[in-house]
Amino acid sequence: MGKPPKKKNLADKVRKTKTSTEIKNNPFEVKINRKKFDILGRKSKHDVGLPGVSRSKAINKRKETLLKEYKTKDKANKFIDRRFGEYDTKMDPEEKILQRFSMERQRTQDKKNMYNLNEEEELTHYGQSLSEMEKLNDMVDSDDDADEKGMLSAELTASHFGGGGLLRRKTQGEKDNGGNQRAKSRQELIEELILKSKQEKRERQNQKEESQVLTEKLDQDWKSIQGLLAHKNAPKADRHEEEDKPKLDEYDMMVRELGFEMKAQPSEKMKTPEEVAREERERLQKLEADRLRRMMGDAVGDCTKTQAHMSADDINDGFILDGDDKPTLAYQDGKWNINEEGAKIEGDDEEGGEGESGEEESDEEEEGSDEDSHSDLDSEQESAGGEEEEEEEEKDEAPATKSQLSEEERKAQAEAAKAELPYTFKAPESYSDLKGLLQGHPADHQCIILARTQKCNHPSLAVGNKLKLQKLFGFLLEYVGELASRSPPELSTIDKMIPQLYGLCQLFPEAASKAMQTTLVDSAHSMEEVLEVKGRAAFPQLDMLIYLKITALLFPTSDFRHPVTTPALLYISQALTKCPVMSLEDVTSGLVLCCLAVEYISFSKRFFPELINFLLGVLHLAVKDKTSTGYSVVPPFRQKGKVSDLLVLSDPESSQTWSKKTLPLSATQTLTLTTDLDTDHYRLSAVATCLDLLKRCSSLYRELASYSHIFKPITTLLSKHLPIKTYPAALQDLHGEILAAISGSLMSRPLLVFEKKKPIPLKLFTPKIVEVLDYGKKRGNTKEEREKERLNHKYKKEFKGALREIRKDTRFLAREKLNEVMGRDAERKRKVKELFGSLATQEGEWKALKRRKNSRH
Amino acid sequence: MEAHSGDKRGLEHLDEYEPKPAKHMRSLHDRMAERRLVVILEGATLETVKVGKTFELLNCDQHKGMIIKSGRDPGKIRPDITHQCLLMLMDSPLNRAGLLQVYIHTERNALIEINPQTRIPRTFNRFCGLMVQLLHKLSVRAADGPQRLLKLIKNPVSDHLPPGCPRICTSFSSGEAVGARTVVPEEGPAAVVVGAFAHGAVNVDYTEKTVSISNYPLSAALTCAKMCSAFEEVWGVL
Repeated sequence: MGKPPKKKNLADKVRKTKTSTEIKNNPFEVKINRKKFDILGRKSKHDVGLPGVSRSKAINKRKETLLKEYKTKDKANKFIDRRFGEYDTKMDPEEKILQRFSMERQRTQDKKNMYNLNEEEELTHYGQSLSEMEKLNDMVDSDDDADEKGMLSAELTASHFGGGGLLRRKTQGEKDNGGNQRAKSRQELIEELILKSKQEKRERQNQKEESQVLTEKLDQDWKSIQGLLAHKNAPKADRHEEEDKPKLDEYDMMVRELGFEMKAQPSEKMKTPEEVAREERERLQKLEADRLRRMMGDAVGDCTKTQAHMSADDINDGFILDGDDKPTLAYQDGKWNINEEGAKIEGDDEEGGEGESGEEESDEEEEGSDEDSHSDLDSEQESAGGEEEEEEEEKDEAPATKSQLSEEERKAQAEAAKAELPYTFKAPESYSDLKGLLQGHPADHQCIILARTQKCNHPSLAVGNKLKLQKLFGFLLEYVGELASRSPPELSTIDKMIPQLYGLCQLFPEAASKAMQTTLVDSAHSMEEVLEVKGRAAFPQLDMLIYLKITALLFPTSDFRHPVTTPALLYISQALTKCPVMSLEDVTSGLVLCCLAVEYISFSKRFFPELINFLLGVLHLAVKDKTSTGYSVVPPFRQKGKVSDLLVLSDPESSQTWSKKTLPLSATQTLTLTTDLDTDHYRLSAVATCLDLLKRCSSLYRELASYSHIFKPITTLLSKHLPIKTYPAALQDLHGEILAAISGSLMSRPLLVFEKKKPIPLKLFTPKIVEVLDYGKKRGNTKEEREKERLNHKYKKEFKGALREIRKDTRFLAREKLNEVMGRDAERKRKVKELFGSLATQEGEWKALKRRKNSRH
Repeated sequence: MEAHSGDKRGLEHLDEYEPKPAKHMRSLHDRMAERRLVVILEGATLETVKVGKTFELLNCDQHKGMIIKSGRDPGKIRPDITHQCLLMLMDSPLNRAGLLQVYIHTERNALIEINPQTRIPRTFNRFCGLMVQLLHKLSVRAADGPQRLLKLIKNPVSDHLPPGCPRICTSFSSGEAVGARTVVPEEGPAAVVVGAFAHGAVNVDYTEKTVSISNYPLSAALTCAKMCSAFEEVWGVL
C-alpha cells in the first residue's frame, strides 16, 4: 500500500485535531442520555457520551491489534528487534542511541584483550573470594573473644549449630594458618569445650558465694550498730505498756462480760386491737369467699375430698359467723331473731328436734347456751367435757369459792348421779352394744358416756380406734332415729346427742357423710318403691325429718353440689311433690319439710319450686270457695276433693280465742284434737306458719328476676280467695305484709329486642414493605441463588458485548480488505494506464518517424 | 320490586330485606354513580433522593443541604403534609364506610391512587419508606392480602373522577368563606381538591369552582378533616 488512503475517518480527524476539553464542550460531539427518573443524589456514569471520540478510539485499537494480526496472517517468519532498549518505552530515544553507541564501543574494545590471561578475575574458594577470606580472619578472632562473656562461647555454637563442615574446616584452616597447633579430633574438641564451660561455671559460683559472705558480714555489723541506735526509744515503750496492762485487762473483761451477757430476747409484738380485728376480718372474708365459691359450684371437680374437708369449715363459718352477720342469716339465727321479736312462730318447733325439745323439756338450760353449743359445737363440747372431768378430779381437794357456789351445788347434785358412771367405756362394736350402753341413763349421762367413749378411743391412742369411732357415728345416727321413732319421741335426748354427732363428724367427715348419705338414699329409694307400688307415699316419719335437720347442721347446705346435702334436698323435694296431704298431720309434716327446705336454701337462695307449690297448696286448703280460682295447684294437692278442705275453719268465731302457738314436732306423728275449737286453733296455727314461711320465701327470692311471676298465683290466692276476714288480727297483719312485699317489687320489664348492629367497617390492610434496590429486582432467596443470578446476568451482558465486538471486528476487517482490493485495483489501473501511455508515446513516436520518413520520401 | 311482586305471592314478608348485590358484581357505572367523596391532594412533594446507597423520601429536615445545593427551596418540600392529610382521610368514618376515594397528584406529576382499605403508616419514617417503595416499584401490595393498596396510575386525574360530579377546589384566597356542609351534594359523588403544600394556591384546570371553607387559613390536614366531617354529617355516617 504505497499510498495511504486519502479519505481518513472523520472521527479520527476530529480527535486528532481538537483537545479533549474542546470536544467535551462542543454540543455536536456530546450525546446526553436522558434519565427517566431524575433522582437527587444519584450519580450516573453514563449521563453524557462522546460517540465520536469513542468510535475513533475503537478504530485505533483495532488498527493496532486486529489489523496487525491480519497483516501477519499466513506469515511464518517473525521479525524480532533485538536492539538494546527497542521495546522499552520508558527510555528516551536519545538515551537509547547513546547506550547503543557505548555498547558498540565496548565490544570493539574487548576484542583487543582477546589473548590476555585472567588477571583481573578473582580466585574463589567455595564460592568466596580468597582475598575476602583473608580479610575476615581477624574478625573471627575478635568475635571469639566477645562471645566468651556470654553464656555460650562461639566455639560451642560453631561446633553445635554450625554443623556443616564448612565452618569447622574454616576454623581448622585458620588454626593451621596459625601453624603452632596440631590437628585435633572431634572427640577431643568436645571434651575441651565441656571442660571450658565447667570451669566457667565454677568461677561464677565462687564469685556468688563470696558476695554472699560479704553481705552477711555487713548485716551483722549493721545489727550491732542498730542496737545502739534503737536503745534510746525502746525502754520507754516497754514501761508504758507495763503500766497500761492491768487497766486494759479490767476494761477488756468488762467489755467481754457485757458482750456475753444474756440479752433480752425480743418477744413477739403485741398486737394492737386494730390488728387483731383486721386479722379476724381477713379470716372471715376468706371463709366467706370460700363459701361463696362453693355455692357457685366452682369446686365441682374435686368433690369428695375437699368438700368433706370444707364441710367442717363451712359449719363453723355458717354458725359462728352468723352471730355478727345479720343480713345472711342462718336459719338458726332467723329463729332467734323471730323469737326475740316475739313473733312466736311455730317454725321453731318444726325446724328441728333440739330447739323444740329444749322448750318442751323443762327449759332447764337457757336457750342461749343451747344456741352457743350449736355455734361452737366442737369446742364447747370439748371444753365442757374437760371442765367436768377437771372438776371431778378437783372436787376432793379444792373447795369452790363462794361465787361458784350455785354451780358447786349443781355439781354436787350431778355428782351423785355421775358417781355411778364409770370413766372408761369400750367403743361399741354393734348397734345393740351402744343401745345397751346408753339404755337407762338420762340424757345428760348419755352425753357424758358418749364423750368419754370418744375420749377413751381417741384415734391417736390406738390404731383401731379410728374405725371404731367411725362406726360409732353410724350407731349414734341409728340411735337418734330410734329415739325419734319412739312414742313420745325423746327429742331432748336427741338434742343432747347432736353435739356428739357433730364432734364425730368433725373427726371423720368422710365416714360421717357416707353414713348420712346412705340413710338418705335408702329412705329415698324406699319412698320410690312405695310410690311405684301404691302410687302414693306417706310423708316421711319423724326420724327422717330429724335426719334431714341433722344433715343441715352437720354439712354445708349452701354448696352448689354436696355429697350429702344435695341428696337431702332432693329427698325433701321428692316428699313435697309425691306425698299427698291427707290429714292435719300430713300438713304439719309438709310444713316441717318446707321449713327444712327454707333452711337449706337460706344461704344459696336457690329457687326451690316444690316449696312454693306446697305452700300454695297448703293455703289452698284454707280456701272455702274452690271454684273459679285465678290460680292452679300442682299434684300433691287437688283443686277439689274430700281432703281439700282440711284447713277451712269450721267456726269463724274460733279465731277470736286463738292465740299464737307453735306446732309441736310430735304432731307430725299423732295429733289428738278433741274439740272443734282445738282443731280450728290448730288450723289457724298451720295457716300462720304457712304465711310466715311465705314471707321468708319472698324475702329470699326478692333478687330473682322472675320474682313477681313466681309469686303471682300466691298473690292471687292471698288477695282474692283466702278468707282473711275471719282470721285473727296477727294473721291479717302478716297477710298484709306479704302482699305489700310482693306487690312492692312488681316491675315491668322491657321487651326483648334485637341488638342494634353496628356497621362493619372496611377491613384495613397494612402495606407490605419491601427493600428498595438501586435498579432491577432482587431475585432469589438464598445467597447462592442470588450469586447465580448475578453471574448469569453478567455472563449475558458479556456475551452480548462480545458479540457486538466481534461484529464490529468483522466489519472493520471487511472494510480493510475492501480498501486493500481497491488499492490494488487502483494500482493496476495506474500501471495499465502507464503502460498504455508509454505504448502510445512509443506508437506516436514510431508514427511520427514514419511520417517524417514518408514526407522525406 | 313492583315487577316482581307477582312472582313472590305469599312471600311478601321477605321483601323487607332485599340484600344489596355484592360489591364486585356492581358495574363501574353503578360505582361511579353512587354517593362518594373523591379527594385529590394536589401538589404533594413526594420525591426520592439517594443518600449513600439507600433511597429516601426527599424531606426538608433530613436533606436540607442537598435541596439547597440543587437550587430548590427547602420550605416547599413537605411530604409530612401529605402524610397528615392521608392519616386524617383514611381514618375518617367516611372512609371506613367505604365512601371515600383519595388520589395524590405529586409535584413531579405522578398520580397515586390509594385503596380505601389502606392503613397508612402512623410514623413519618415508615410513611417515607412506603412512598419510596411506591415511587420505585409503582405499586404496593398488602402484607396480608392480595390487594394492591397503592399504585401509580395514568394521568390526568380527571379520567378517574366520576363523570359529571361537582369538582370543588379549596383555597383560602377564594373570597367569602362558606360552610363546608353547603358544598356537599345530597346524592351522587363529589370531588374535592386540596393542596398538599405549604405555600401557594391550587392551580388546576379540571375544577369547576373554588371555595373557601374558613375565614382562617387552614392546614391541609384540617381541611381534609373538615370536609370529611361535613360529608359524614350530611350523608349520615356516624
